[in-house]
Order: sequence, then C-alpha cells, then structure tokens
Amino acid sequence: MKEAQDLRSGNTVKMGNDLFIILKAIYNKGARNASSVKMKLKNLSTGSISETVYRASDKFDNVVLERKSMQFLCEANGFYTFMDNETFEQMDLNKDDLGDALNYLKEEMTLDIIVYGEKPVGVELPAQVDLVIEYTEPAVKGDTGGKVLKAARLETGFEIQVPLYCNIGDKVRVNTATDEFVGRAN
Amino acid sequence: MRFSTLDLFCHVIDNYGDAGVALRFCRAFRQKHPACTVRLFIDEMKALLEITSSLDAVSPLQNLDGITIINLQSLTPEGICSIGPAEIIIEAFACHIPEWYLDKAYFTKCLIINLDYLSAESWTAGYHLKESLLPCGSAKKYFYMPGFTDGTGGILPNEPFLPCQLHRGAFPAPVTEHLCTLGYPNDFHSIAAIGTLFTYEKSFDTLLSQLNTTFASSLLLCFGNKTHIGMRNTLKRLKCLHSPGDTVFLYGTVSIALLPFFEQRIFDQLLYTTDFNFIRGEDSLTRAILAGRPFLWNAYLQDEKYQLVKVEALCSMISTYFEDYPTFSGFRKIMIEFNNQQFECSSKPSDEDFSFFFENLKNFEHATQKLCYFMEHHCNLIEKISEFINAFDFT
Repeated sequence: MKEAQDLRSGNTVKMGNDLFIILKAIYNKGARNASSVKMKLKNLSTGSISETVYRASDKFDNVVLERKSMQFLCEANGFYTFMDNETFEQMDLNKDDLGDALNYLKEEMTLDIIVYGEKPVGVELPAQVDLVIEYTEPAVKGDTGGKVLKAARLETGFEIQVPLYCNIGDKVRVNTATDEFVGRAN
Repeated sequence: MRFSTLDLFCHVIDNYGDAGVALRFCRAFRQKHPACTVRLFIDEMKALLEITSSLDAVSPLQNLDGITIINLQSLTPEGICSIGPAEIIIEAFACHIPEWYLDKAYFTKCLIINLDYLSAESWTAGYHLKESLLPCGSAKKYFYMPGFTDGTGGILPNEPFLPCQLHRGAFPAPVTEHLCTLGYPNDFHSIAAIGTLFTYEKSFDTLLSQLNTTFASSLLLCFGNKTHIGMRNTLKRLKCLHSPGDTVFLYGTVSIALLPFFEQRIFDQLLYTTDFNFIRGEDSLTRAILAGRPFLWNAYLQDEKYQLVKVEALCSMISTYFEDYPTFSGFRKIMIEFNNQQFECSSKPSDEDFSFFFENLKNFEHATQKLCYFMEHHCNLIEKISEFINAFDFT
C-alpha cells in the first residue's frame, strides 16, 4: 500500500475494479500540518481522465505493471497481432486497446505493451517515429502567402502538419506525444 | 429537500477550533435545513464542554439545540450496531471516520464531504469540489475547501443576532457580569481602547508598552490558557501590579483581565464590541472578520514557520480591501511580526511594533468592514454547500 503523498506521475493504482495511471500529482500543505494531494488520473479501462483530490495519508493499492516489448506483426479482422521479442508469444489487441497508437502503427514496429496479469491495459509508443509521407500537396514555388506548414498524410493514414519543402516519399520524424514534425529522417 | 440526515465527524487534535467549527457548522446547517436530522460525532468532549453549557463529559448521546451529540468514546457495541449512516456525511478537517461506520456508508448512495481547513491560499480553489474516488461501493466523496473568494467554499456565517445592538463597550451580559465580580465597573464606554486577546503562547511586552503610551486608558480581555500563560510571564517581567486572585492586572494605563471561556455565541458577540481583536485559529479569524473590527491573526504554528505562508496568503487576499498601499504594508508588517515564532514560548520579551496598528485603527476598521461585506454577500459556506448538496443525485 502507498500513501497519496508518495505517489508520483507514472504510478498505477487500483481503486475498486479499475486501474488508474497517475498523470500528475501535486502536493499541498494545509493547516495543522495536514496535507492534500491533487491527482490527474487516467482510467486504464475507459480512458477517461479525471482530476481528484486526496488526503496525503489516504492509502492506495499500488500496482506494478509489466511492460513487454512487442513487435507488431499484422492486422486481421480488427485484431492487431503483436509478438514478444524474447519469448515469441503472440498477443492480440483491438482498436480500443491501442487508442492513439494506431496513428503511428506500422508493421515490424516495436512498442511497449503494458500488461496487468494477462490483460493488456495500455501501450507506449517510442517518443519519436520515422514514417514516409504518402501524400501531400506539392509546394508551388514563390507561393508562401504566410503559410509555413501544410497537411501531409503518413503511410499509416494519419495526417500531420509538415513544412512546405516536404514531398511525397520523404521520410519524416514525428513526435508521438505532440504529433509534431520533428525533422527529416534519413 | 432531497435529503433528511447529516452526520458530521470531528476529531479533536488540540485547542478548541475543531470542536468549535464542528458545532458551528451543525447549528448553521440545521438552521438552514430545520427538517434535517443532524448528528455530531466527536471523540473528545472536553473541548466542547468549554464552549457550551448543558452537556456532560460522559453520556454517549445528548441533545444540544436540536443536534444529537454522540460521544465516540462512550459508544457501546450495541450503540455502534444501531447507528446507520446518514445521507450526507461530513468528514471535518480530514478526520478518520470509524471503520465500522464507513463499512456501512460506502455501500449506500451517500455523499461524503471532506470539509477542509479554512485557508486564503490560492491553490485551495483548484481543490474545491474535486472528487476523491473511493475504493469500493456506491458512495461518492468530494473535497470542500472553505475560503475567502467566490471560487472556494466560503466561510461559516455567524448565528443571526442583532449586530446593531452590539455597539462599542456594550459587552454581552455574561462578560459584563463576570468583569463586575473582578471589581470592574459595569460601564466601559469611557475606556480609550478595548481589545480582546486570544492567542497561542507568546510574549506581550511591546503590546503592553505601546498600548500604555498610545492610549490614555485601555482594557485587554484575555482568553485561553495559552494566552494567560504568555501574559503572566510577560507581566512578571514587567513587574506590574495585580489584584488578589491573579486575574486582574494593571500596567500603567493598561488594565488586563484574564477571563475564562464563555459560550461560543457570547465570544462571537463580544468581538463586535471592542476596538480591536487579536485572535488565533481559523474560526476566531472568521468571527473577527465578520465583526468588522481591526484584527491581527495568530496562525497555528507549523514546522519551519510554515504558518508564515498562511499569513502571507491572508495578507494577499485582504490587500484588495485597503484604500492605499502604505496602510496595507503596515498591516502586513505587523502580521508577519506577530506570527514570526518557531515555538510557543513566552520566556523572552517580544519585539513586535504595534504602533502603526494602533495609529491606524480607523483605516484597518474600514478594510475589515469591506472584507466583511464581501464575505457576507458572496462567501456564505452554508449557502454554497447547500447548493452543492441539493444538486447531488442521491438516487
């Protein structure tokens, strides 16, 4: 068991039947040396995010989750098959399990699957990924008109904003947390 | 009204504020919702006995002003079994509600409210009415943060009495009667400065000397054992006169009376009849503000003088009610000096400078009255918490 004042961003706790990952924890000292903690929590089952407050001494079941490094093999009938790089065991995840990670998922990509018991509860992408631009409007010479970015569809189907000089077939590096163009990838 | 029962749990740590606020909340809530059954569960009756009359220290169940007072220390196992949870449960000041009660409450559709300490700090607004997820069951819990701004939970109002009848020098009858037994006359209007003193243990050397030099005559009404200890140690150093009984002293033009506690209502009324109030704790601070008289607040001492953070927050909040910065700056300076203690102690002389405070009583009164007006019209805790409770779905 952990007290609220000991919890940090990234910790996972169990309340009732639900698992929550702590996105943010702020501690404040109240009167009489009593304190409280404000936490931003993400429900790993529903994905909903809530702001909550606890006494610093409130106790939580601390949950240790397993991380498995797994490679994406293929998709069939709405299920995405991953293989453990060490044990070669396979695991199927659905769209809901993957969430926004689908925007960047391509075959042979390795990412961390977060597992509680045998159940996947989340995925963690690499901080940056390299993907090819599948389509973008060609830049017309001299036509800036104040624009500095244009839309580009990546090979995964996801659309981001890229500088005007990027073209179809260019490989670009993208920040997966912010969906921002980082630079060209060689 | 969609609810009919409220239980408030209070854990007495020290002093009288915990019990005092708990009782005040129950009284005020019951006044707003007379059809609601209100119970106050308390684990230390002594604190309550000091500020009320007609209660005893032992009985497990008593009635006070329509509120059922339950003495947790005297509850029998049969009593515990017979108690069912209320629809609204107030957890006062982060106290721990007994497990036997929570085991039942969690599985009802009740509303649990953590009623936190009053603070002027800005972070409290961000915590106000935030949910605190429970480990099981269907009950819901929220944090409620009392405060001095619109975005917080407000302050507990005074009981209705007639402030227009409470003018300067016209003390409540029990106070006047007690002062007469100490040899005072029953007319205090001619005294140049009248103040209350209710603080943690500290020295009062400069307070007495500056009262003596500023006013032709003054009367200090001192409450609480800690105030008395500090005052006695100060007076010993100053070698002043005292009467037999060791409760009335004279230092130059300053008359000092060490008084017992009176009922909560009497003390509330007394604050309206003075020229200034030096008070401690969150509840007396609220009463002093609502009395609209100049005040200084002695905050609860915390590790590494953390109380100064609370004091600065209060000063920052109150700054907008001052007419000019120099007057506010003078107020802030004495507030910091008044609270600049690491420990409760009165063995050494004090060095605060009260001269600006006493020379600017009118300006401080003006600021306090503006603050009081805002509190009364925008920060009524009972109105705000009732609004929150009424919007809650108990089904």
